[in-house]
Formats: sequence, C-alpha cells, structure tokens
Amino acid sequence: GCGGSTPSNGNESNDKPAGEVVAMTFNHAFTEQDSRGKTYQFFADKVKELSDGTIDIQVYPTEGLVKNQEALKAVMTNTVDMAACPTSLNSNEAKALAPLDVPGLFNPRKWREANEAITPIMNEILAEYKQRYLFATDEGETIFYINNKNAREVHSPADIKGLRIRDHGMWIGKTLEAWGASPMTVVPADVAVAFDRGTVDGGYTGWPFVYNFKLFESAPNISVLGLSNSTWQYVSISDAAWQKLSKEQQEIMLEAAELAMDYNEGLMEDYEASFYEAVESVGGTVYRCTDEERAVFMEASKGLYEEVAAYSGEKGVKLMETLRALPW
Amino acid sequence: MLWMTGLIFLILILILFIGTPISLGLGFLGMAGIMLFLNPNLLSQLCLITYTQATSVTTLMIPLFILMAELLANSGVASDMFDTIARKLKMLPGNLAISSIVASAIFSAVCGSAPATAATIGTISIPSMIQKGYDAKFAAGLQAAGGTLGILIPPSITFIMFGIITETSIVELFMAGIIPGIFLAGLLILYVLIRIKLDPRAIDPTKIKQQEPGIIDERKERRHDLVSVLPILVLIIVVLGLLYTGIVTATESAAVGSIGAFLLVVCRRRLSLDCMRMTLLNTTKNSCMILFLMFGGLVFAFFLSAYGLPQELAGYVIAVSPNRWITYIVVMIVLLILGCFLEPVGILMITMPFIFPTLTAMDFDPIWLGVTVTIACCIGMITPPVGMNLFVLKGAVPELTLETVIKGAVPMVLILLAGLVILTVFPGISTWLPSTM
Amino acid sequence: MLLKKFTTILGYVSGFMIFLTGVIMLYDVFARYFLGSPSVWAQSISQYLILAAAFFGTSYCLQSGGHVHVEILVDRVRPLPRRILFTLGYLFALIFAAALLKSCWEYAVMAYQFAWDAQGNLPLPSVILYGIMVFGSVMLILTLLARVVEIWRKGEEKEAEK
Ligand code: NA
Ligand code: NA
Repeated sequence: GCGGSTPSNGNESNDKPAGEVVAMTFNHAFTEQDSRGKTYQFFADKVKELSDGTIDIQVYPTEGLVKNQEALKAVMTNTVDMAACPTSLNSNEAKALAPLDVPGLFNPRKWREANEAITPIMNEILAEYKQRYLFATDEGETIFYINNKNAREVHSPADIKGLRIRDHGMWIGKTLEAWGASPMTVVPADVAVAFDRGTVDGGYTGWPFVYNFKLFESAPNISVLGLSNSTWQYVSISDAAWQKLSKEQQEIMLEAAELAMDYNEGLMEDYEASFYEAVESVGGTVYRCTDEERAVFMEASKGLYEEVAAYSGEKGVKLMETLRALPW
Repeated sequence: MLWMTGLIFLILILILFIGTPISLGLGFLGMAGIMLFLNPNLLSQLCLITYTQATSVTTLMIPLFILMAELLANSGVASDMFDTIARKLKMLPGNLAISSIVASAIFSAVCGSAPATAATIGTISIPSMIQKGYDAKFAAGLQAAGGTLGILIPPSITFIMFGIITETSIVELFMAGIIPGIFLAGLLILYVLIRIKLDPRAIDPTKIKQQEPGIIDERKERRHDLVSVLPILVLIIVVLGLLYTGIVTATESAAVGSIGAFLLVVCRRRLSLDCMRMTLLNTTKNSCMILFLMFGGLVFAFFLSAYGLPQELAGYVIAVSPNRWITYIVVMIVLLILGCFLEPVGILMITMPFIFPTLTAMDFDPIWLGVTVTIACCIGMITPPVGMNLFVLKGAVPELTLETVIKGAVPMVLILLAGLVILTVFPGISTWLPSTM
Repeated sequence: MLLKKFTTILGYVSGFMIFLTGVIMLYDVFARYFLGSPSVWAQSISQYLILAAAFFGTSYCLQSGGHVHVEILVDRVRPLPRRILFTLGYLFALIFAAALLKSCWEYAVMAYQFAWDAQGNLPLPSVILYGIMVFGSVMLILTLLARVVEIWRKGEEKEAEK
C-alpha cells in the first residue's frame, strides 16, 4: 500500500517480493462469539495465513457496516467486498434464492452436501448481482420452542393450531400459516420480552437462534422438527473484489472456505450438545419428532413449493430441484 | 484517535452553530467523513440506511406516539385535565404549581416528548400561575422541569431511540422509566412545598391579576370533574397494562394509544376540524423532525463506526480508566455538557455508539444505563444555551422572556441532578419493575 | 407560493398516513386475539406507510421550521453575516439532501431493473418505495432552495421587525 515506507536493511531473504496487499471488508450480523462469527473470523485469519498476508480481510461483526437485509445490495454496489447473506432477508431481491427459505427441502444435517450441490447454481444466480458464492455455515435443525403450557410437545400441526408463533420472513410466515399457526412479527430487541410475557406462544427457527438469545429460558418446551432452517446463510464476494485477486489468491480463498466449513462443523457439534444441556438445566423439555411426524408437516406445507417456484423463476426452480434431488 | 474524535466534534459544533438543520447537518458531516476517510462507494448507503430505519418496526411507534399526544393536546382534553387537577388540589398551598407537575406527569404517560409535554401543559399552567401571583421565574422553571418527565415516563421517544441504537428491549426500558418518573415528580412537588414555605416571594398575593374575560372563562365553563381526567387515566392504564402483560408489543401499544386517544377525543366531542388539521400537521412536523434526525444521525454513526472510532475509543477509555465509576461519571459529565447544545435524540445518536459498548463492557446494567442516560438528557432539555423545553415555553407563553425561563430553570437543574444522583446510587428504583416482568 | 401550498398538502397526506398506520396496526391486534388469524399484510403495510409519511412530510417539516437548528449564534450576529451563515448552513443541508437523492435514485433504478420486492410479508415492488424517497428528496431540496431565497429576500424585513 501507500505510506509508511520502511528503509530496506539488506537482509530480506525471507520476504516476498513487494506484493500489494489486497484489503477487503467483510460484514456479518453475528457477534464475535457466535459460531458463525467465529467461523468468519477463522476464515479471514486463514486467508491471511495462507496468502502470507497479501489478502487482509477486515471483519465487521454485528452489522458493523451494513444491515443484513442490505447485504446482497451492499456487495452488488461494492459498499462492502464480502458479506454473510441470509437468504430469508435477501430473497425478496434475488428472488431465485427464495426456495432456500422454505423449510423441508433438504436434510439440514447434510448441509455440506447441500452446499456442494448448489454451489454452481448459486454462482449462476449471484452472477446477475455482480457477486460470487464462497461458502455457507450450519444453521442447525429447526425446532419449535413453546412457552404455552398447553402445548409442551409438538407432534403434528394440530398441536400448534391457532398458536401465535413468531415468524421471520415471508416464506416462514407462509409455512406457519400452512401448518395452521398464527404467525406474528416481533423485532429482535423485544423477542425476549415477548416470550417472557406470552405476547407470542412460541417460535419456530433453527436452534442456534434460540440458544444465542437464550429464548429457551422463557420458552423451554423444545420440539425438534429437524427440517432445514428457513434461511441459508452464505458468504458472497463482489466480482470487483474477486477480480482484484490473482489466480493463486483465488485458490487460497476457496481453500480457506473449505477449512472454515470444517471448522464450523466442529464448532456446531459441541455447540449443539451444550444447547440441549442448557435447555435441560432450566427445566425445559426436549422432544424429537419422528420421521413420520416430520413427514406430516412436510406434506402440509407442500403447496408452498409450487408457490415459491412461481415466485423464484427458472433459476429458482433449478435450485429447488437440485436440493430435492438430494437423498434425505 | 483522540485528536480525530475531538476534531470531528469541533467540526460538528461548527456546522450546527451556523444554523444548519441538525438532522441534515449530521448527515452532511457523516457523508463528508465517508467521502474523505472511507470510500465514496459507501455513499450509496445513504438510501439504504434511511430506508432500513424508516421501515423498521421499531421506528413505527415514534409517529404513533406523537399522534397520540397531538390529539390530546389540540383537542383541549389536556387543558381540561390541568384545570380539574388544580381545582381538586385547591386546599394545598401552591396548588397550581403542584397541579402543573401532576398534570405533566400524567400527560407524560401519553406523550413521548419532553418539549411537547412542557408546551402542552405549560400553555395552560403558566398563565394560570402568573395570574394567581406566582413568580414567573418559578412558574416557568418548574414547568420546564415538569416537561422533562415526558421522556422518562413511558412512552418516551428517547427510550425508543436508546433501544434502537443499543438494541435494548424497549418494553423493559419503558417499564424502567415509570418509577423514576414518579419519583422525580415527587421530588419536584417536594421542592414546590419547601420553596413556598421558605420563600414568600414565590407567590405574591399583590401580583394577582384581574381575570381577563374570554379564553379563561370559556375553559371555566367546561366540566371539571373526574370525567375530564378519568378517560386519560384509563387510556394510560390500558396502554401500559397491555404492554406489561404482554398482550401487545411495544409497537402495537403505540397504535392502541394513538387510536385510543382518537376515540377518547371523539367521545368527548372535541374533534373539531381545527383540531384535526392541527393534529395532522403537527404530527407530520414532529415525526419528520425526529425521523430525519435519526436518518442523519445514523449516517453520522455509520461513518464513525465504519471508521472504527467508537471501538478504538472504547478500548482506550477502558484501558486508561482507573475505575468503572470514574468512567461512568465522566460519561455523565460529557452527556450533561452535550445537553447544553443538543437535544436528546441527537445526543444519543452521537454518543451511544461510543459509550454504550464501553459501559456495558464494564458491567453496567443496560436498562439502568438507559434510565440514567435519559435523565442526563432531561437535564439538557432545561439548560441553556440550547434547551428545547426553555424554547418551547418561551414560544408557547407570550408573556415570558427567554431570560425569565432560563433563570427559573437554574434551581430545577439542581433538583434533577439530585434525582440523577439518587437514581444512580439506588439502581433498584429503575430495575425493579422490569425485573418483575 | 405554489410550492408552499403543495408542501402543506403533503403535510396533511403524511399525517393521515400516520393515522392510517395506527388504524391498521390496531386492526392487526384485534384480528390476532378476536378473529384468531393475524393479517399477514398489516405489519408490512404499516412499515411502508411510515417510510412514505417520512418522505412526503419532510418538506412540510422544513417549511414549518420543524427541522430544528441551533440559533444562539446566528441570532446574535448582524443581518449580513447572519444571512451568509444561514446560507452556508443550508448549503450543507442541500449537499446532504442531494447525495440522498442520488443514492435513492440509483436504488430506484436498480429496483426497477431487477424487479426487487420490498422486505416484508407483502411483496410490493421496491421501486415504489425508493420512488417515494426520490420524490421526498426532491421536495426537500426545492424547499431548502426556497428557504435560501427567502432568507435573502425577506431577511431585511424581518430584521426591521425585530
Ligand atoms: Na412519556
Ligand atoms: Na440544554
């Protein structure tokens, strides 16, 4: 870069030829302690290490640069070079991503396989928005977490009929409606109070969210439905930033991405175990839905596949078919 | 880092002092900072920052609570309330002064803004007091202080902003403000009783003015029994009750409040065309003022945060601070100084990105911080040179000069400071109610 | 004059939108508890309405002196420096408003090109909302310019008044 030129002192046998350092910004919404927050920092560190410091990724946690719902646009306009993008907040713009918001398209335990399968089509979709797909993180299996005394365990849609369930996006709202629940929007800052006070009867999302916000303390009745989460959390990089990298540096980015996903998998195993421990420590209950019970839920919301296909267009259908073709 | 921070504040003060609208000035400085120190590409953020904030579910409640207060103020329902309370307290010494505090406290529970509370009650209470021989400085200062309850007793735009910036629960902040608000009202009433006892000039019987016919007579003809107070109390209890029990979210409580106020005004047959016109226009004016202050402030905060100033400054403060309480006291002093020049939403927008992470990292309770920071902002509303409560009272009551209002506000600053100290030392006063939720 | 009238009308429109938001949200609470089915659209419509209210109303807010400014210095200097300071202050405001307009315009164009929907449970083409922001910014700029002209034209009369 510019400035700070150090006088050469003769002994430079170890130094690389004076390569330009490529500086990049990376925005995400999680805290530095969150499993995904840690993964992104791990990725940045790995890239720096593998590239001998020629790629310097500055990570901005907790929406430090842009809000999550702006992530896709921010990368597109080069406001940030990289961002973690949740499809649930961006699929209103990149409509072909919408199928990833519908729970039940693939087995969340096999997210690495899913990631591998969709990478080409994701790149096809994101190319239109001047960016490229890098890697994804585990969003966990979906759970119901209920604070209504009358519905401790959720076995079938009948158990949540009429309950006020917190939603977080259009497609999750539609899914909950299809299951007979009353979806309701609550802002994140007030979610804890809403559960505590019974403004809502429960929620339905991936368990990491429930863990992060300690929602199991006020809604301790957990039923693991085990569908894919109603969002796909992926990292994308702008075309402009990608082209600044040499071929070799691009390879390094992809290698670091694989390592970051390995790292994330390891983190999530421990993290999941400690989540269920935490639930039990506050006297909560954990029920794991059977395959048959899960099938009933999937059957009930099957109509959404057609709806999302109509919404998300040709590429969206391709994405959806790719995921549905994966073995459960 | 400190130099840079100092420089930015200096430029900010310069921009604001030449009369730039604060909201757009903050936006301009943020924008200039982005261009000079970051990347001009980031200017595309202006639209997104604004869009995201304007469509946020939390932002929604600001205009709704403004609508609620405007309805009650423009329909005369608020003035009826003051007259009734004054009548009920007739046997107390200084009944009008006490009524102005009680009416302010009640109106605070339907109004989210301090100047609006001061102006609505002050327009009625101050002329009544002056007419009955009260010292004008005493009357104006007291009302200016009473108005600050508007942002302490929920609903409160300051709490909403604090909640938005720091991602603290707005419901809990609202609940935390109730008891401190009542406590400060009590402190002000105590001051009235002591002052009247010790200072005979506070109410000078020889200065009682002859009744002017007209407006006052018309107000006198109205009914002054509980019918004029009860509906407001019911509305307050309904809104806070729905919130406390969790039947509605904070945002929805604003809708209940505003439409509830509308129905109340309709039922009392006070919905004149004039009232409706004033209400619509003032709601627009005040809402846009706050919303654009937020937009501009967020652009400024975006620049600071992307540049890394808050983070580094927080790290620096933690590193050099010998003791968390010293840091806290320094922060409070900074807020009070800023309070001399800026109004609460502006202060929060500028300082909280720096201050909040620092203080929470030092283990201070976020909700309690919300209350003490808000009281510091309250004090700023009655300190010159820029004190919104002082300005609106001067504007609302033609017989007052700014000098009178400012002189009257001086002792009140001390009272509120005493309140701040007490609430700092006894955090339970603020945190108990939200902890029962 | 025409600008002022139009701006005032926008002020009413904005106020009415806020009122409407209250009605819609209250209906949503009612639907949740008494009809057993909360409306999916109420929340989204309310969010869009407040954005629209903010941008329809901001020029009225400026015109009616609602965008607060610090007066202590400018009120103390003589008419000419006073006008210069005010003009400079409004120039800063104008630059910000222009940058906001440019940014909103760019997004309106992108939203149209890529057929973006607004975030929320009710798909609404984003171009409508960005378009409202463009319109509001233009009105804000016009009103700012009108204020500057006013300061130079009426400044003397006001000074005499004082
Ligand atoms: Na209030
Ligand atoms: Na002040």
